[in-house]
Amino acid sequence: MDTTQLLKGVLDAAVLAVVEHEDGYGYDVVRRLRAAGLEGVGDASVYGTLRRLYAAGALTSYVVPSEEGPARKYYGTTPQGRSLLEEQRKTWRSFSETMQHLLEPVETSR
Amino acid sequence: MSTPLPPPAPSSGPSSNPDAAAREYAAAVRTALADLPPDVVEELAGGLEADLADSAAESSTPLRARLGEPAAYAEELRTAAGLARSQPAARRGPVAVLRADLRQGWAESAAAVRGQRWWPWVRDLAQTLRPAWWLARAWVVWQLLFGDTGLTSGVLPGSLGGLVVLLALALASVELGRGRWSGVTWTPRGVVVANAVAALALLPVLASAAGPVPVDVVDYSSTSYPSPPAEGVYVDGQVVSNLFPYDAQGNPLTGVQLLDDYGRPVQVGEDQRVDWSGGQPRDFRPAVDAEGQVRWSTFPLRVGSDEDGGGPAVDVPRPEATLPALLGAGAGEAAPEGGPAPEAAPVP
Repeated sequence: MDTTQLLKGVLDAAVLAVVEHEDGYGYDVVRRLRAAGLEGVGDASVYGTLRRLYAAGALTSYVVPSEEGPARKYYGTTPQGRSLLEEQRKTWRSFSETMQHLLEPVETSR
Repeated sequence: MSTPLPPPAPSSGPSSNPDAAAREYAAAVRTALADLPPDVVEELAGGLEADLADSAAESSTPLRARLGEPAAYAEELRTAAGLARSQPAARRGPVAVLRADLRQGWAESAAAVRGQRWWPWVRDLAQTLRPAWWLARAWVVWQLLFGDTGLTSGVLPGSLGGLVVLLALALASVELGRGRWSGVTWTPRGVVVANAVAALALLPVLASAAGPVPVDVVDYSSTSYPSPPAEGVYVDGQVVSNLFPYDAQGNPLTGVQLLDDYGRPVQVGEDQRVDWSGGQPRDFRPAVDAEGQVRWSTFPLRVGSDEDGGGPAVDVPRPEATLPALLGAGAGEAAPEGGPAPEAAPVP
C-alpha cells in the first residue's frame, strides 16, 4: 500500500511526537521522521504541518541566527500540543488495534 | 538516512554551493506563494532557506531533482499548512480573484449562519420540506420547458400529455433528491446549477403562469411604436393648438365653428389648449354657444386678456394678417392641379 496516503492522516501526530522531547527546526524534523522509518515523507508536507500546528497553538517557534548561512526556525511543543499528541496517541492505538484485528488472516483469528 | 541530530549543519556538503542553491529554490517557492499575504508567506517560508541548505548539503543531487518543481513544493507546503490550494487562475485575472473572494465570503457567511442558535431548527425544517421542493422544482422546469406550448394551461397541465410530462419530471426530481440522500454525497455540478435556476425562476414562473392578465395584452401600453392619437388636430404629424380661418377675400375670420365629415366638432387636444405666442403660456378659453355649451370647435381659440388668464377673451396674434383673395370669390372653383388657368372658371 502506498504509505504516503496513510501518512497524511497521521503526520500531525508524527511531527508532534518527534519534537515532544527535543525542539527541532524544519529539516531536522524531516530527518528525524525519516530516521524513524517514514522514508516517504515529503519535506514540504512536514514544513507545512509544522506551520499549521504552530498556527493552531500546538507548537512554539523561535528563530536561531546562524553564523554562516540563513537563520533556523525551531519548533517545540506547547502544553496544548502535548495534550493534542496524547489525544492522537489514544486515537491511533484504538484505530490500529481495530485495523490489526480487521486485517488479521481469517484462519488465525479463529 | 540515520544522520544524528545536532542542529548545526555541516557547512561543506557534497553540493558545490548548497546555500546558493537553497536561496534560489526558496525564492522560487516564495514566488509561487506570492498570491498569499506577505505575512502568511513569511509564516510558511520562514526558515526555508536554512532547511533547504541542510537538505542540499546532504546530497549531490540538485534540489530540483530531489524536491520537484518549486511550484509543486509550494503547493504541498500550503496544503500541509491547511491553506486553500492556490487557484490556478488566481494570478490570471480579476474574475478569478472575484470568484475566490466570493467563495471565501460565502464560506464565512455560511459558518456564521451555522453558528446561530436557530440554525438547527431551520436546517431540520428545510430538510423536512425537501420533498416539497423536489416537486416544486419539477413544476418549474416543466413550466420553463413547456410554458408556451399546449401542454400547460396556467399553473396546471393543459392536456393529458402535459400531465404525463409533469408527472415524469416530478418522478425524476424526487428520485434525484432521494438518491442524493441515500449515501451518495457528491452532487454533480449540473444538479447544483439546475437547482439554482429552478429556485431563481420559481417566483417569476409562478407569477406569469398564475397571473390574471395575459402578458400580451398588458404589453401594448408600453410598446414604443407610435399609437394613433386619441384626439386633437395634426398637420404633418405635428400637433396643432389653434386654427386661423380666413374668408374668400383673404380676411381673417373669428368665431368659426368647424365640423368634420362625420359632423363631429373639430377640436385640438385637451393638453394642447395653450397659447405659446406670448412670453408666457396662456390657457385658451373656449367659446360658449347660446345654449351655454362650451364650443372648443370654435376657431381661432382665444385667451383671457389679463396676465392670469382672466378678463374678456381676446384674439391671439395670427401667423398671417391676411391671405390673398380667392378667385371667383368662392370655394371649390380651383382648377385641378396642372389644369388650365383659373381665369377660365365661370363667374355667376
